[in-house]
Amino acid sequence: MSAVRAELRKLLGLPTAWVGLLLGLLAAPALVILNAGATRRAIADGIVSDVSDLGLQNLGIGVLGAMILGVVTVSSEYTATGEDSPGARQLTTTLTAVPRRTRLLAAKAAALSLVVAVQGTLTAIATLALTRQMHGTAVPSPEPVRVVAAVLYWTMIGLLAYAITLIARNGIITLTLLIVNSAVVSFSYLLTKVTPLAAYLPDIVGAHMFLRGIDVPVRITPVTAGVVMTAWVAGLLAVAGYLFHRRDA
Amino acid sequence: MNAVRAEIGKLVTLPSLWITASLTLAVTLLLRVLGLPGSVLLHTQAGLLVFGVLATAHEYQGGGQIRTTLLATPRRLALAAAKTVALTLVALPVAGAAAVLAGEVPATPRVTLSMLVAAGVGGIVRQAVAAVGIVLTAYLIVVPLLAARVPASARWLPDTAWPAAFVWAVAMVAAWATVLRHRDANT
Repeated sequence: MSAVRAELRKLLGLPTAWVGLLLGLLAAPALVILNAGATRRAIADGIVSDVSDLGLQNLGIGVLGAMILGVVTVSSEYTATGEDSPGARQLTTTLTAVPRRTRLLAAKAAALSLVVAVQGTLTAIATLALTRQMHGTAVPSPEPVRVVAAVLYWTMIGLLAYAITLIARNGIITLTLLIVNSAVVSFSYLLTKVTPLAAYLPDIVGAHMFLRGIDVPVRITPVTAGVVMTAWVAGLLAVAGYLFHRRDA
Repeated sequence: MNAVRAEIGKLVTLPSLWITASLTLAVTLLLRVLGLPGSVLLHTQAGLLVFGVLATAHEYQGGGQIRTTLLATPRRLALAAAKTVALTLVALPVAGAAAVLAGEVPATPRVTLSMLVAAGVGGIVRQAVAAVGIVLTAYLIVVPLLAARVPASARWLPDTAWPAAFVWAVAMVAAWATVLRHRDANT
Protein backbone atom coordinates (compact mmCIF):
# COMPACT_ATOMS: atom_id res chain seq x y z
CA MET A 1 0.00 0.00 0.00
CA SER A 2 2.82 2.41 0.88
CA ALA A 3 4.39 1.69 -2.51
CA VAL A 4 1.15 2.65 -4.27
CA ARG A 5 0.97 5.85 -2.22
CA ALA A 6 4.56 6.70 -3.09
CA GLU A 7 3.94 6.08 -6.80
CA LEU A 8 0.82 8.25 -6.68
CA ARG A 9 2.76 11.13 -5.19
CA LYS A 10 5.57 10.74 -7.71
CA LEU A 11 3.13 10.66 -10.63
CA LEU A 12 1.17 13.69 -9.47
CA GLY A 13 4.40 15.59 -8.83
CA LEU A 14 5.42 15.48 -12.50
CA PRO A 15 4.73 18.61 -14.58
CA THR A 16 4.25 16.53 -17.74
CA ALA A 17 1.70 14.36 -15.90
CA TRP A 18 -0.35 17.49 -15.32
CA VAL A 19 -0.19 18.24 -19.05
CA GLY A 20 -1.70 14.78 -19.55
CA LEU A 21 -4.28 15.25 -16.80
CA LEU A 22 -5.51 18.60 -18.10
CA LEU A 23 -5.35 17.59 -21.76
CA GLY A 24 -7.40 14.47 -20.99
CA LEU A 25 -9.97 16.40 -18.98
CA LEU A 26 -10.43 19.30 -21.40
CA ALA A 27 -9.95 17.81 -24.88
CA ALA A 28 -13.19 15.81 -25.04
CA PRO A 29 -15.54 18.58 -23.81
CA ALA A 30 -13.78 21.02 -26.16
CA LEU A 31 -14.37 18.61 -29.03
CA VAL A 32 -18.08 18.44 -28.18
CA ILE A 33 -18.30 22.21 -28.64
CA LEU A 34 -16.16 22.16 -31.80
CA ASN A 35 -18.21 19.32 -33.28
CA ALA A 36 -21.60 20.72 -32.31
CA GLY A 37 -22.49 22.13 -35.73
CA ALA A 38 -21.34 19.07 -37.67
CA THR A 39 -23.17 16.78 -35.24
CA ARG A 40 -26.44 18.68 -35.69
CA ARG A 41 -26.13 18.49 -39.47
CA ALA A 42 -25.28 14.79 -39.31
CA ILE A 43 -28.36 14.04 -37.18
CA ALA A 44 -30.57 16.12 -39.47
CA ASP A 45 -29.25 14.35 -42.58
CA GLY A 46 -29.67 10.99 -40.88
CA ILE A 47 -26.18 9.78 -41.80
CA VAL A 48 -25.33 8.67 -38.26
CA SER A 49 -25.67 4.91 -37.96
CA ASP A 50 -26.21 4.97 -34.19
CA VAL A 51 -27.23 8.27 -32.58
CA SER A 52 -26.45 7.04 -29.07
CA ASP A 53 -22.77 6.86 -30.11
CA LEU A 54 -22.50 10.61 -30.51
CA GLY A 55 -22.09 11.42 -26.84
CA LEU A 56 -19.33 8.88 -26.35
CA GLN A 57 -17.60 9.37 -29.69
CA ASN A 58 -16.01 12.65 -28.64
CA LEU A 59 -14.52 10.93 -25.59
CA GLY A 60 -11.99 9.17 -27.79
CA ILE A 61 -9.72 12.19 -28.10
CA GLY A 62 -9.32 12.44 -24.33
CA VAL A 63 -7.44 9.14 -24.12
CA LEU A 64 -4.46 11.20 -25.26
CA GLY A 65 -4.28 12.32 -21.64
CA ALA A 66 -4.32 8.71 -20.43
CA MET A 67 -1.53 7.88 -22.89
CA ILE A 68 0.68 10.73 -21.70
CA LEU A 69 0.11 9.65 -18.09
CA GLY A 70 1.01 6.05 -18.93
CA VAL A 71 4.17 7.14 -20.73
CA VAL A 72 5.48 9.55 -18.08
CA THR A 73 4.89 7.05 -15.26
CA VAL A 74 7.78 5.09 -16.76
CA SER A 75 9.80 7.61 -18.78
CA SER A 76 10.28 9.88 -15.74
CA GLU A 77 12.16 7.04 -14.02
CA TYR A 78 14.60 6.72 -16.91
CA THR A 79 15.25 10.44 -17.41
CA ALA A 80 18.57 11.75 -16.08
CA THR A 81 17.94 13.50 -12.78
CA GLY A 82 20.26 16.40 -13.45
CA GLU A 83 22.49 17.85 -16.13
CA ASP A 84 25.55 17.27 -14.00
CA SER A 85 24.81 13.61 -13.45
CA PRO A 86 23.64 12.12 -16.74
CA GLY A 87 24.05 8.59 -15.39
CA ALA A 88 21.84 9.11 -12.34
CA ARG A 89 18.22 8.21 -12.81
CA GLN A 90 15.31 8.14 -10.44
CA LEU A 91 14.87 4.44 -11.11
CA THR A 92 17.98 3.65 -9.07
CA THR A 93 16.44 5.30 -6.02
CA THR A 94 13.07 3.71 -6.67
CA LEU A 95 14.57 0.24 -6.85
CA THR A 96 16.58 0.84 -3.69
CA ALA A 97 13.35 1.66 -1.89
CA VAL A 98 11.27 -1.09 -3.52
CA PRO A 99 13.69 -3.82 -4.59
CA ARG A 100 11.07 -6.37 -5.61
CA ARG A 101 10.46 -5.47 -9.18
CA THR A 102 7.13 -7.16 -9.72
CA ARG A 103 5.78 -5.40 -6.64
CA LEU A 104 7.07 -2.08 -7.97
CA LEU A 105 5.42 -2.62 -11.35
CA ALA A 106 2.15 -3.57 -9.67
CA ALA A 107 2.26 -0.48 -7.45
CA LYS A 108 2.97 1.75 -10.44
CA ALA A 109 0.17 0.15 -12.45
CA ALA A 110 -2.25 0.57 -9.54
CA ALA A 111 -1.37 4.25 -9.04
CA LEU A 112 -1.64 4.91 -12.78
CA SER A 113 -4.97 3.06 -13.13
CA LEU A 114 -6.42 5.00 -10.22
CA VAL A 115 -5.46 8.39 -11.65
CA VAL A 116 -6.55 7.48 -15.17
CA ALA A 117 -9.85 5.93 -14.04
CA VAL A 118 -10.76 9.03 -12.03
CA GLN A 119 -9.80 11.20 -14.99
CA GLY A 120 -11.84 9.03 -17.36
CA THR A 121 -14.90 9.08 -15.12
CA LEU A 122 -14.82 12.86 -14.67
CA THR A 123 -14.30 13.42 -18.41
CA ALA A 124 -17.09 11.00 -19.35
CA ILE A 125 -19.54 12.75 -17.01
CA ALA A 126 -18.51 16.21 -18.20
CA THR A 127 -18.66 15.21 -21.89
CA LEU A 128 -22.07 13.55 -21.61
CA ALA A 129 -23.50 16.45 -19.59
CA LEU A 130 -22.21 18.93 -22.15
CA THR A 131 -23.63 16.84 -25.00
CA ARG A 132 -27.01 16.80 -23.25
CA GLN A 133 -26.76 20.56 -22.79
CA MET A 134 -26.00 21.21 -26.46
CA HIS A 135 -28.17 18.67 -28.23
CA GLY A 136 -30.96 17.96 -25.72
CA THR A 137 -32.78 14.73 -26.45
CA ALA A 138 -31.56 14.52 -30.06
CA VAL A 139 -28.63 12.53 -28.70
CA PRO A 140 -29.95 9.94 -26.24
CA SER A 141 -27.76 9.31 -23.20
CA PRO A 142 -25.98 5.95 -23.52
CA GLU A 143 -26.73 3.22 -20.98
CA PRO A 144 -24.53 3.37 -17.85
CA VAL A 145 -22.85 0.08 -18.87
CA ARG A 146 -21.44 1.75 -21.96
CA VAL A 147 -20.10 4.65 -19.94
CA VAL A 148 -18.39 2.18 -17.61
CA ALA A 149 -16.97 0.40 -20.66
CA ALA A 150 -15.66 3.72 -21.96
CA VAL A 151 -13.87 4.42 -18.67
CA LEU A 152 -12.50 0.88 -18.73
CA TYR A 153 -11.20 1.47 -22.27
CA TRP A 154 -9.64 4.71 -21.07
CA THR A 155 -7.85 2.92 -18.20
CA MET A 156 -6.65 0.10 -20.45
CA ILE A 157 -5.16 2.57 -22.94
CA GLY A 158 -3.25 4.13 -20.04
CA LEU A 159 -1.93 0.69 -19.05
CA LEU A 160 -1.10 -0.08 -22.68
CA ALA A 161 1.02 3.08 -22.91
CA TYR A 162 2.63 2.09 -19.60
CA ALA A 163 3.51 -1.39 -20.86
CA ILE A 164 4.88 -0.18 -24.22
CA THR A 165 7.05 2.45 -22.51
CA LEU A 166 8.40 -0.21 -20.13
CA ILE A 167 9.39 -2.31 -23.13
CA ALA A 168 10.80 0.56 -25.20
CA ARG A 169 12.27 2.44 -22.18
CA ASN A 170 11.86 5.58 -24.22
CA GLY A 171 9.01 8.03 -23.86
CA ILE A 172 9.47 9.67 -27.24
CA ILE A 173 9.04 6.53 -29.32
CA THR A 174 5.95 5.41 -27.42
CA LEU A 175 4.35 8.83 -27.42
CA THR A 176 4.93 9.26 -31.18
CA LEU A 177 3.47 5.83 -31.92
CA LEU A 178 0.41 6.44 -29.76
CA ILE A 179 -0.33 10.00 -30.91
CA VAL A 180 0.07 9.11 -34.59
CA ASN A 181 -2.44 6.39 -33.93
CA SER A 182 -4.99 8.64 -32.29
CA ALA A 183 -4.83 11.25 -35.04
CA VAL A 184 -8.07 12.21 -36.73
CA VAL A 185 -7.53 9.62 -39.43
CA SER A 186 -6.15 6.92 -37.19
CA PHE A 187 -3.39 4.80 -38.58
CA SER A 188 -4.90 1.50 -37.37
CA TYR A 189 -8.21 2.52 -38.91
CA LEU A 190 -6.52 2.99 -42.29
CA LEU A 191 -4.86 -0.40 -41.85
CA THR A 192 -8.32 -1.99 -41.59
CA LYS A 193 -8.76 -0.91 -45.23
CA VAL A 194 -5.65 -2.94 -46.09
CA THR A 195 -6.37 -6.00 -43.97
CA PRO A 196 -9.51 -6.80 -41.92
CA LEU A 197 -7.28 -8.26 -39.19
CA ALA A 198 -6.24 -4.71 -38.24
CA ALA A 199 -9.67 -4.35 -36.65
CA TYR A 200 -8.27 -6.40 -33.79
CA LEU A 201 -5.51 -3.87 -33.01
CA PRO A 202 -6.04 -2.65 -29.44
CA ASP A 203 -7.25 0.88 -30.13
CA ILE A 204 -9.84 -0.18 -32.73
CA VAL A 205 -11.07 -3.26 -30.93
CA GLY A 206 -11.24 -1.39 -27.61
CA ALA A 207 -13.52 1.26 -29.06
CA HIS A 208 -16.06 -1.46 -29.80
CA MET A 209 -16.55 -1.83 -26.07
CA PHE A 210 -18.62 1.36 -25.96
CA LEU A 211 -19.30 2.46 -29.56
CA ARG A 212 -21.79 0.69 -31.81
CA GLY A 213 -21.45 2.20 -35.26
CA ILE A 214 -17.74 1.78 -36.08
CA ASP A 215 -17.10 1.24 -39.75
CA VAL A 216 -14.83 -1.82 -39.89
CA PRO A 217 -14.99 -4.91 -42.09
CA VAL A 218 -15.71 -7.34 -39.22
CA ARG A 219 -18.45 -7.37 -36.60
CA ILE A 220 -17.14 -7.38 -33.03
CA THR A 221 -19.46 -7.56 -30.03
CA PRO A 222 -18.67 -5.42 -26.96
CA VAL A 223 -17.79 -8.49 -24.87
CA THR A 224 -15.41 -9.90 -27.50
CA ALA A 225 -13.91 -6.44 -27.77
CA GLY A 226 -13.37 -6.32 -24.01
CA VAL A 227 -11.75 -9.75 -24.00
CA VAL A 228 -9.41 -8.97 -26.92
CA MET A 229 -8.48 -5.61 -25.42
CA THR A 230 -7.76 -7.20 -22.02
CA ALA A 231 -5.66 -9.84 -23.76
CA TRP A 232 -3.59 -7.13 -25.49
CA VAL A 233 -3.02 -5.25 -22.26
CA ALA A 234 -2.31 -8.39 -20.22
CA GLY A 235 0.05 -9.74 -22.89
CA LEU A 236 2.03 -6.53 -23.20
CA LEU A 237 2.15 -6.11 -19.41
CA ALA A 238 3.46 -9.67 -19.10
CA VAL A 239 6.22 -9.02 -21.65
CA ALA A 240 7.03 -5.69 -19.94
CA GLY A 241 7.09 -7.38 -16.54
CA TYR A 242 9.37 -10.15 -17.75
CA LEU A 243 11.79 -7.69 -19.38
CA PHE A 244 11.77 -5.37 -16.37
CA HIS A 245 12.54 -8.34 -14.15
CA ARG A 246 15.38 -9.59 -16.33
CA ARG A 247 17.06 -6.52 -17.79
CA ASP A 248 19.61 -4.45 -15.97
CA ALA A 249 17.86 -1.31 -14.81
CA MET B 1 30.19 30.60 -40.30
CA ASN B 2 32.14 28.50 -37.82
CA ALA B 3 29.12 28.35 -35.55
CA VAL B 4 26.93 27.07 -38.40
CA ARG B 5 29.51 24.42 -39.25
CA ALA B 6 29.71 23.36 -35.61
CA GLU B 7 25.93 23.11 -35.32
CA ILE B 8 25.71 21.05 -38.53
CA GLY B 9 28.45 18.81 -37.14
CA LYS B 10 26.46 18.26 -33.96
CA LEU B 11 23.24 17.53 -35.82
CA VAL B 12 24.68 15.03 -38.28
CA THR B 13 26.61 13.11 -35.64
CA LEU B 14 23.77 12.75 -33.15
CA PRO B 15 22.67 9.08 -33.06
CA SER B 16 19.10 9.90 -31.98
CA LEU B 17 18.62 12.06 -35.10
CA TRP B 18 19.98 9.32 -37.37
CA ILE B 19 17.64 6.81 -35.76
CA THR B 20 14.65 9.15 -36.05
CA ALA B 21 15.40 9.99 -39.68
CA SER B 22 15.98 6.41 -40.80
CA LEU B 23 12.91 5.11 -38.95
CA THR B 24 10.80 7.86 -40.53
CA LEU B 25 12.04 7.07 -44.03
CA ALA B 26 11.64 3.33 -43.52
CA VAL B 27 8.07 3.67 -42.26
CA THR B 28 7.22 6.06 -45.12
CA LEU B 29 8.45 3.53 -47.65
CA LEU B 30 6.62 0.69 -45.91
CA LEU B 31 3.30 2.56 -45.86
CA ARG B 32 3.71 3.52 -49.51
CA VAL B 33 4.31 -0.12 -50.43
CA LEU B 34 1.32 -1.23 -48.34
CA GLY B 35 -0.79 1.18 -50.38
CA LEU B 36 -2.34 3.00 -47.46
CA PRO B 37 -5.24 5.19 -48.65
CA GLY B 38 -4.69 8.93 -48.38
CA SER B 39 -1.53 10.89 -47.70
CA VAL B 40 1.35 8.86 -46.26
CA LEU B 41 3.22 11.99 -45.21
CA LEU B 42 0.27 12.90 -42.99
CA HIS B 43 1.36 10.09 -40.67
CA THR B 44 5.12 9.99 -41.12
CA GLN B 45 5.39 13.73 -40.63
CA ALA B 46 5.33 12.74 -36.95
CA GLY B 47 8.86 11.38 -37.27
CA LEU B 48 10.06 14.61 -38.88
CA LEU B 49 8.49 16.65 -36.08
CA VAL B 50 10.29 14.49 -33.50
CA PHE B 51 13.48 15.17 -35.48
CA GLY B 52 12.89 18.90 -35.13
CA VAL B 53 12.19 18.66 -31.39
CA LEU B 54 15.31 16.56 -30.72
CA ALA B 55 17.48 18.92 -32.77
CA THR B 56 17.06 21.63 -30.10
CA ALA B 57 16.01 19.68 -26.99
CA HIS B 58 19.01 17.33 -27.08
CA GLU B 59 21.24 20.12 -25.76
CA TYR B 60 19.30 20.00 -22.49
CA GLN B 61 19.37 16.23 -21.97
CA GLY B 62 21.69 14.54 -19.51
CA GLY B 63 25.15 16.08 -19.67
CA GLY B 64 23.95 19.60 -20.27
CA GLN B 65 25.67 20.10 -23.60
CA ILE B 66 24.10 23.55 -23.83
CA ARG B 67 26.65 24.89 -21.33
CA THR B 68 29.57 23.79 -23.49
CA THR B 69 27.81 25.23 -26.52
CA LEU B 70 27.30 28.57 -24.81
CA LEU B 71 30.89 28.60 -23.61
CA ALA B 72 32.02 28.28 -27.23
CA THR B 73 29.37 30.62 -28.66
CA PRO B 74 28.42 33.06 -25.89
CA ARG B 75 26.35 35.39 -28.04
CA ARG B 76 22.99 33.78 -27.78
CA LEU B 77 21.15 35.39 -30.66
CA ALA B 78 24.04 34.52 -32.97
CA LEU B 79 23.83 30.96 -31.64
CA ALA B 80 20.08 30.81 -32.30
CA ALA B 81 20.68 32.09 -35.85
CA ALA B 82 23.44 29.53 -36.44
CA LYS B 83 21.25 26.74 -35.08
CA THR B 84 18.35 27.79 -37.31
CA VAL B 85 20.49 27.88 -40.44
CA ALA B 86 22.10 24.53 -39.57
CA LEU B 87 18.78 22.86 -38.86
CA THR B 88 17.24 24.18 -42.07
CA LEU B 89 20.19 22.81 -44.07
CA VAL B 90 19.93 19.42 -42.36
CA ALA B 91 16.13 19.25 -42.29
CA LEU B 92 15.65 20.05 -45.98
CA PRO B 93 17.20 16.84 -47.36
CA VAL B 94 15.51 14.70 -44.69
CA ALA B 95 12.10 16.24 -45.41
CA GLY B 96 12.82 16.02 -49.13
CA ALA B 97 13.69 12.32 -48.92
CA ALA B 98 10.53 11.61 -46.94
CA ALA B 99 8.44 13.57 -49.44
CA VAL B 100 9.98 11.70 -52.38
CA LEU B 101 9.36 8.33 -50.73
CA ALA B 102 5.79 9.35 -49.98
CA GLY B 103 5.33 10.60 -53.54
CA GLU B 104 4.40 14.09 -52.33
CA VAL B 105 7.39 16.17 -53.42
CA PRO B 106 5.56 19.55 -53.38
CA ALA B 107 5.04 19.15 -49.62
CA THR B 108 8.79 19.45 -48.93
CA PRO B 109 8.93 23.17 -47.98
CA ARG B 110 5.84 22.93 -45.79
CA VAL B 111 7.22 19.91 -43.92
CA THR B 112 10.63 21.56 -43.51
CA LEU B 113 8.92 24.61 -41.99
CA SER B 114 6.98 22.36 -39.62
CA MET B 115 10.31 20.89 -38.46
CA LEU B 116 11.48 24.41 -37.61
CA VAL B 117 8.30 24.99 -35.60
CA ALA B 118 8.97 21.72 -33.74
CA ALA B 119 12.56 22.85 -33.09
CA GLY B 120 11.25 26.12 -31.66
CA VAL B 121 8.93 24.29 -29.28
CA GLY B 122 11.71 21.87 -28.30
CA GLY B 123 14.01 24.80 -27.53
CA ILE B 124 11.37 26.54 -25.43
CA VAL B 125 10.11 23.48 -23.52
CA ARG B 126 13.63 21.94 -23.19
CA GLN B 127 12.06 18.58 -22.30
CA ALA B 128 11.97 16.22 -25.26
CA VAL B 129 9.01 14.07 -24.13
CA ALA B 130 6.82 17.04 -23.21
CA ALA B 131 7.74 18.90 -26.41
CA VAL B 132 7.00 15.84 -28.56
CA GLY B 133 3.61 15.51 -26.85
CA ILE B 134 2.75 19.14 -27.52
CA VAL B 135 3.98 19.29 -31.12
CA LEU B 136 2.41 16.00 -32.21
CA THR B 137 -0.92 16.79 -30.57
CA ALA B 138 -0.94 20.17 -32.27
CA TYR B 139 0.00 18.96 -35.77
CA LEU B 140 -1.73 15.60 -35.91
CA ILE B 141 -4.88 16.28 -33.92
CA VAL B 142 -5.66 19.94 -33.27
CA VAL B 143 -4.78 21.28 -36.75
CA PRO B 144 -6.73 18.68 -38.79
CA LEU B 145 -9.71 19.00 -36.45
CA LEU B 146 -9.80 22.79 -36.64
CA ALA B 147 -9.33 22.71 -40.41
CA ALA B 148 -12.25 20.30 -40.76
CA ARG B 149 -14.63 21.96 -38.33
CA VAL B 150 -13.81 25.66 -38.74
CA PRO B 151 -12.82 25.98 -42.42
CA ALA B 152 -12.19 29.72 -42.01
CA SER B 153 -9.25 28.92 -39.73
CA ALA B 154 -7.42 26.94 -42.42
CA ARG B 155 -5.63 30.04 -43.68
CA TRP B 156 -4.02 30.58 -40.30
CA LEU B 157 -3.00 27.04 -39.38
CA PRO B 158 0.68 26.05 -39.57
CA ASP B 159 0.09 22.97 -41.67
CA THR B 160 -2.57 23.88 -44.20
CA ALA B 161 -1.58 27.08 -45.96
CA TRP B 162 1.78 28.16 -47.36
CA PRO B 163 2.20 31.70 -45.96
CA ALA B 164 0.85 30.60 -42.57
CA ALA B 165 3.38 27.76 -42.37
CA PHE B 166 6.17 30.26 -42.97
CA VAL B 167 4.80 32.76 -40.43
CA TRP B 168 4.44 30.03 -37.79
CA ALA B 169 8.02 28.87 -38.34
CA VAL B 170 9.42 32.39 -38.11
CA ALA B 171 7.31 33.15 -35.02
CA MET B 172 8.31 29.96 -33.17
CA VAL B 173 11.99 30.34 -33.99
CA ALA B 174 11.85 34.00 -32.86
CA ALA B 175 10.11 32.99 -29.61
CA TRP B 176 12.73 30.32 -29.02
CA ALA B 177 15.59 32.79 -29.70
CA THR B 178 14.02 35.22 -27.21
CA VAL B 179 13.76 32.49 -24.57
CA LEU B 180 17.35 31.41 -25.23
CA ARG B 181 18.49 35.02 -24.92
CA HIS B 182 16.74 35.79 -21.64
CA ARG B 183 16.36 32.55 -19.74
CA ASP B 184 19.01 30.87 -17.62
CA ALA B 185 20.41 27.96 -19.61
CA ASN B 186 20.41 25.72 -16.55
CA THR B 187 16.72 25.81 -15.74
